[in-house]
Amino acid sequence: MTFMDEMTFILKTCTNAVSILVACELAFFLLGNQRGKKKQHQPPVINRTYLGLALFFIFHAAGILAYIFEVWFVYFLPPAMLPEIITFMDKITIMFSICAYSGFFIVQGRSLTRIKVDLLVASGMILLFVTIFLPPWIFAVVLACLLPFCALPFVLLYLFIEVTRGKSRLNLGVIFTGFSVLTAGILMMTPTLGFMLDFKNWFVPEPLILLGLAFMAGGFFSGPSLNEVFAPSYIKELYLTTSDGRIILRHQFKKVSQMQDTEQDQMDREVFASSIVGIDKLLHEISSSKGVLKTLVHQDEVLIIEFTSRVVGVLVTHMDLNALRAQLASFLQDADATLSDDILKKESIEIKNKTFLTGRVEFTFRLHVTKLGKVMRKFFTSIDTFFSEIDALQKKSDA
Amino acid sequence: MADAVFMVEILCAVLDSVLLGEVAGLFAFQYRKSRESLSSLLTLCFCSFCGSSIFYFIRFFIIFDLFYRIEVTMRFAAFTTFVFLFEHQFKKRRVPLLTIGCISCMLLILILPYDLAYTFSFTIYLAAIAVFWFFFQVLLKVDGQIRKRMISAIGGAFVLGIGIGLSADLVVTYGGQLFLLSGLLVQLVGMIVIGLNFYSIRTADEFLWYNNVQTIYVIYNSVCLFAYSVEKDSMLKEGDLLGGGLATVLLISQTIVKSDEPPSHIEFQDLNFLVKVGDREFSGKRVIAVLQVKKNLAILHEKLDRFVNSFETQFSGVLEGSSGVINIAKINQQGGQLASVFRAKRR
Repeated sequence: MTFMDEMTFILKTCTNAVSILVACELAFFLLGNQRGKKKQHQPPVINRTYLGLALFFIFHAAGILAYIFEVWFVYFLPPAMLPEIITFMDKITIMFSICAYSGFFIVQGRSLTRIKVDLLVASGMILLFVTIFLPPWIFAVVLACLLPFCALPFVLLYLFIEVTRGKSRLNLGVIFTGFSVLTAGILMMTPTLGFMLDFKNWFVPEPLILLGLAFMAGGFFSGPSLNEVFAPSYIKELYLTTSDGRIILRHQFKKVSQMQDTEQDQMDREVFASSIVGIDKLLHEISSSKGVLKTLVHQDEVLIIEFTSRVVGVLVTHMDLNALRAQLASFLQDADATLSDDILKKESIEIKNKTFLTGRVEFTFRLHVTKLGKVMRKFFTSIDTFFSEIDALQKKSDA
Repeated sequence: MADAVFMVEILCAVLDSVLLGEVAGLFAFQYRKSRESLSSLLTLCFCSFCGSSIFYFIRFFIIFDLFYRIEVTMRFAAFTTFVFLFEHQFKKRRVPLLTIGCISCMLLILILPYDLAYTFSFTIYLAAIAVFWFFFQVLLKVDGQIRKRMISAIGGAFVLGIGIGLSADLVVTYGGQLFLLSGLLVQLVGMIVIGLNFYSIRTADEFLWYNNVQTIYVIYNSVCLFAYSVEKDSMLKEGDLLGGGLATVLLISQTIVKSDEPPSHIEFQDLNFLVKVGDREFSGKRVIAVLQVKKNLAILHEKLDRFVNSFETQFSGVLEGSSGVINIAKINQQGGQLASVFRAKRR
């Protein structure tokens, strides 16, 4: 082995080993997220996405391991044996790549449109068959078939980015970049290019894969959970009150029934508004601090609270999510600017442009949800259904 | 075959460095979130370890005196961080003598002629003992899951130490290449164990949980039975009033969400109120304990659970069949001992 060969070999092996480590860590991290926090309801669709992603990384780790063995065989076995072994190991590597992409979609199940999943699974099976049993020249076909598999997660990630804002959007962007780099690396690792170029000196896929995985790891670790992407589905109600506890607006995001509000409901609303302000004042006295009430966590509900100098916003949600707090703060600023002092001074607050305010609520929290495509709507609908079932069960037990 | 063995050695060294870098990154990430000085020191420490590991790796290819000195100095620097923590946190020394000693040793390793410096580098083992002592002290102060994780992490550190020892130049010179290989593999196992356990602990704040506890309230039937300031180590003045206020807060928040249970957690700017409802019923009512803390830590939830259980057991006689009259004086007299669960143990 020449010095250059030795160096390339060392670099190839080390880079691949680190890639395996990162892929495994990512897989376990995502599996940990899939289990979620104790006593917290996490919709099955989120769990499935985490599981699918974990499978994606585990299969990739296995594929890279097969590639490491291939590299070792190339350097340490007699040249006569090489072509057959390289073909065999390449088949294994591609097989794992196919498993990684198709596994992700299989786990998604009904979250995606049924027919798409069936088609993907069927083409995945054909690809596997072709990879295992047919001669090496078919690799070009396999590659061509693998491309749509790689393209679909791109579309899904892009859709996720479309519905997020702020930090979540940035992190998903990082994951998207990582995924692009990773896929480019995997495609370059396939034998078609390996045959065309000198395998021993072909040191491009390894750094690309590692870089891609590192980007994705950065995105997943520093980014918030997948729940943040679907944050609008976690909201139940919004209350807007004056700083002395008089209700300005109550907005129900999920109408439980179409019946008109009873007198009791109206009273409950008034009590709710004044109670939150009351709790804040009491805690002020107890802790003798200048702070404000931020969160109240109950078994199935989380109350996210934000204050401005004149109004208070309370968001009743299923989970404490940063995206929702940011949206609430932004809505409060809007509302504060919209409401004049005269309106707020009156004992019973009658807002003339209530439709405008309700429109702002929809715009801040839900508007982008109504503009979704078919696939994303499926995700949101399944989360909504999950929480509706929970609410119905809770109502039943209360009754 | 010798090449393959060499390759495994390189691979282990690279993975060791990456894992050390990742643990350093983990603490840096925690520091960014919590701005806790302990996290920053731990970041510094694991960065030094990582740097040392990189220089160890470079020595596979280029044997140069300076690289050995830098490698040992960086490892020493990592240990010195713990020595400083030990003196600062537990000994409360104004002048950190041991740390100054360690820094002098590092300087000597860098300056002295190679042979002397090599011999002198063995002082690192003294610093290693201080590190284990530091973690032993931390271990005494934590409980529950955190304690289990700490024990595993210390086990991992011990394995890592053995690995470093096995792959040390002296051992490899006398024992052969096999020691180097096994040492590196053992280091790798140790690092994985350490990484996994530190990741499970989530935040270094858990080690210094006792700095975050402020007050414990026990409420029964909307009346405050016990209000104890853990910070001042005494019963809280106007405890009845403050506890009563808290009882009202719990009752109101329970009413507004139409729930049978009070909230489990209230976040009030920089304060957190952790709420735990007792498992046993006394005359149809349950005991509610509220812990006022600065940070919402997992270990504090476990401690609160334990406190409520002990409270129920110790004062079951007082609470059962009390028919409206509760001997609060008895609770106040004996409750202070129970509240010691929220103080750092001094053994």
